[in-house]
This record gives sequence, C-alpha cells and structure tokens, in this order.
Amino acid sequence: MDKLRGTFLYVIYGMVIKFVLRWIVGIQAKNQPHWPESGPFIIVANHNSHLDTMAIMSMIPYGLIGITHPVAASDYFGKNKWQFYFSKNIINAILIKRKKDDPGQNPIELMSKFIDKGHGLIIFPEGSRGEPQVLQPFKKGIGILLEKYPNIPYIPVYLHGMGKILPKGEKLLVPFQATITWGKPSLVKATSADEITAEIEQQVLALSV
Amino acid sequence: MNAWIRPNHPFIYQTLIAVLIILCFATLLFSIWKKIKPSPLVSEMLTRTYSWWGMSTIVALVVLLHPALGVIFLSIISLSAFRELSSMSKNIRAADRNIIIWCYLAIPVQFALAYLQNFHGFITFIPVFMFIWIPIMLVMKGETQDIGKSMSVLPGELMLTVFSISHLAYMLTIPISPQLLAGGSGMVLYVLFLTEMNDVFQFCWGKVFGKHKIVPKISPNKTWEGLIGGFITTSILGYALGFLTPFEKYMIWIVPAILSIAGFIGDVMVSAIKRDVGVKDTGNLIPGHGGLMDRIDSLLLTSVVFFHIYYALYHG
Repeated sequence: MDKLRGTFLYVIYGMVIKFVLRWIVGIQAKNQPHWPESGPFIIVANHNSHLDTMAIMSMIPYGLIGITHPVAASDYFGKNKWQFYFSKNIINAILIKRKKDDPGQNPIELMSKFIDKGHGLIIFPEGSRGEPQVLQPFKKGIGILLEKYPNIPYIPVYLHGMGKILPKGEKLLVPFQATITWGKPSLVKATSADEITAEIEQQVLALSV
Repeated sequence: MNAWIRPNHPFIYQTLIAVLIILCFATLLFSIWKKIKPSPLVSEMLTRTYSWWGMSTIVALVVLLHPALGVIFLSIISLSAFRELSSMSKNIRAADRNIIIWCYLAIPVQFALAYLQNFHGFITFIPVFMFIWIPIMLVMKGETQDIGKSMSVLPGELMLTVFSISHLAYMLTIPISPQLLAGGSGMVLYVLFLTEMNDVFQFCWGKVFGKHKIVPKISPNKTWEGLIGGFITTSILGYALGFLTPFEKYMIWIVPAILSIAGFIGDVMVSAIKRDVGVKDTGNLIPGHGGLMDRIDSLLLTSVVFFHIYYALYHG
C-alpha cells in the first residue's frame, strides 16, 4: 500500500508537477539535494506561497515521497470534507491545529507519531505564508520537536521568488523566475528548544546568499 | 516513412554532420588543453562546449522532426525567454501580474498562427492586437501610477521574445519548393548556425586581436576587431552554407553580412538591459552561458531580419 502510494505521488509530483514547475512556471533548483537513506528526517523551509510545498515535493525521490508529509494547518487545509480528503491523500499532509483551544491532538504528539514510524516531515516554521520575500520569525514548534529527537537530521531549504508567482490571497499563477536552494542534512547542535529554533532559522537564512 | 520525421534534403544532414565535427573538435581541443595547461578560462570553455552539445541536439531535433514538434519546442523557448526578461525587468509593476498572464496566453496563439502559415494574422497579432489589448487591460485595472511604462514595456518584451522567435516557427513550416531545396527547416538551421557561429567568431576575434572597444560602458568585451573579424568570417561561412537558402548571386554574400550586424545589435541590446538591472546573466539555465536570453540575444534580431529579407524577395 505504501509503495502504491509512493508511486502515485511520484507520478504527480516527481513527473507532472516537476515538468510544469520547471519549464512553464520557471522554478530552478540551485543545487541538488542530498537525501538520507531512509526516514525519519525533517525538511525545514521558509514559506511564502502554496507553491513552496509543490516545489519541495517535486524534488523528493521515488523511495521517499510516499513517507514524506507536509505539516499543514487543519483550520485552513481541513476546512471542509473535500479539502480534508485532498490534503490527506493528494498532498499527503499531516493536519495540525494552530491554536491551543482548537479541537484535536497536540501537534507535537501527532508529528512524533509519524517520526516514530520512520516518516519524513516538511515543516514551515514561519507558520503562515506572510509577505513575499520577508522572513518571519520561526515558531518554537520545530525546536520542541528536535529537542525531543536530537538524532534526526533536518534539511534546510531556502525558497526565493515563490511569493511573486503565487502570493498569499491570489488565485492566479503567473510564471516568474524562482529558485530553490537545498542545504545538507545535519543534526542540531543546540540543546534547548529556543536555541534549536534560532539555529535552524540561521541555517535556512544562510542558504539565501 | 515515419510521420513524425520529416523527409529532409541531404543538405540538412550534411550541415548537421559539419556541426557534429566542429563539436567533436572543440571538445577534444579543450579537453587536451585542460589536461596540458589547466586554467579557469579553458574549464569555462569546456563547460560551454558541453552546453553546445545539448543545444545542438535540441536544434537537430527541431529541424529533423515533424514541424509541429519543432513549433511547440520553439514556443517553450519563447516562453522561457519572456519569463527571464519579465522577471528581471524593473519597469513592470507588482500590480501588473494579472496583465502579464495575457502575454503568456498570446504565446500559443502566435505560434499557432505561425504553424498554420496565416501570414497576416502572424504578422499583426502582436504588433497590432496585443499592442491594443495589453494597454486596454491595464486601463481597465485602473492603476495609473507609472502606467505608461507598463503599457510600453509589456508589449515590447512580447515583441522581443515571442514575435521574434515565432519567425523561426513560421520558417520551419515553409515546405520544400524548387527555389528552396532544403525547405523551411534548412533556413532555420542556417539562421541558428550562422547566428551562434557569429557570436563565437566575434568572441574569438575579440579575444585574440581586440583593442578598440565599441560600447565600453555596456559590453567591455565587444571590440571593433571582434565585430569586423566576425563580420568577415560569418560572411564566408554564410556563403559556404548558401545551399540551405534560396538566395543567389550577390545576396548570398549580403545576407550573412547583415545577420552578423543584426546579431551584434541584439547582443548589445540585451547587455544594456542587463546593465540597467545590474545583473551579469539573465539566469542560470545553460551551464557556462548563463540564462537563455544570454544565449539567444543575437537570435532575437537575426531571425526577424532574415525572415523578412526572404519574404520580401520570394513572396512579395
């Protein structure tokens, strides 16, 4: 079943969406990613557009895409039954609650469940997409998660120009040059959640030059 | 005969074999040179040569396969060029994003008109229709701050990237005739080969003998020696390849000479735009060369100029 799912997602992302993003929309990879042999791992990226997830997913290899889940907000991506179904099955997302009072499981516990299964996560610690080309401060969740799992590699990713192609609140996609830069998988050096968050934010920002 | 491969004249195969020999020679030369005396320049030349292999393969496919495939290919090249230019342009406002989509929609229409050999539609769609459509769409949007810039820049960029390349698509579809033994694809091959070789010749002559700069502020590598050397070499090469074109007598000398000058103008035009924006390359699509616009800058003018000389003389 997992294999079938991986094949399905790979055809959508690794082939169709990759072709469209590369040749029509104009997203270029500045370098090729290095991948761990298997999960778990955490991809950490800045966030400006829905295209961010698409661009990252389109570059995940065949063996890993079935077990890689973008972490998304349930209040946005699980708005109704259809959207919920789409997010779960086509985007392969894990839906977490954004506010403490919202119903549902504790986000850290939910993400831990997938890490324990050996799956990979895509996390946008900025929380929401924000203004184009402006990096918002990272939220602490990523720090708490990696404090709990210090032996899991994280892969920093920097996305540039996606907010011009499909900004927040716009429905029309307009082709523009954009780039995606991959960092090497590495382990966190800091020990407390706050320091880990700061360290990762710095690693993502370091890829912007 | 396979329907997807067009019946080509032997002239085309001969020219492609000549390209193959040049590429083999260049690869061998730079590889040995790199082994004996490594330097950054030689390494870059080798990277560029590898990219030439890729680009030549694409050109060979465009010329040899069914014209419909070639036209689709050229339209994607146009799209990439327009995207590179509009992404780096300073004169397009953030508010124009909804209008830019009309430019992208114009690309398939223009290439379809070229493929269908609808000359009147092909020649008026962008310079007349789009030059009215884009401004009126901008007016309807109602954002008047700097609207004049957008009104002229958007259709202008469409002319430079889409209108020009679509001339190659129109040529590609012209059938073989007694005047035109190698057909339209022969002329496309001629323009592409000559334009790119002219760039190489100007570069080589400039590197070896270059002293007097033409436009030092825009392109410090462009010298009178390079331009004149390229002009003469390209004219000789153009004469030698004249069998791909319908031109006769003195025209067979004049046409490549004009192409050489047009190529130079296209080159410095794009350089000037890059200077204005403050970038060295328009992108990083082709290793060693930079962006697509860096490579096809001279082609943007030579394709149009060549086509209209041909059309005036043989279709008038």
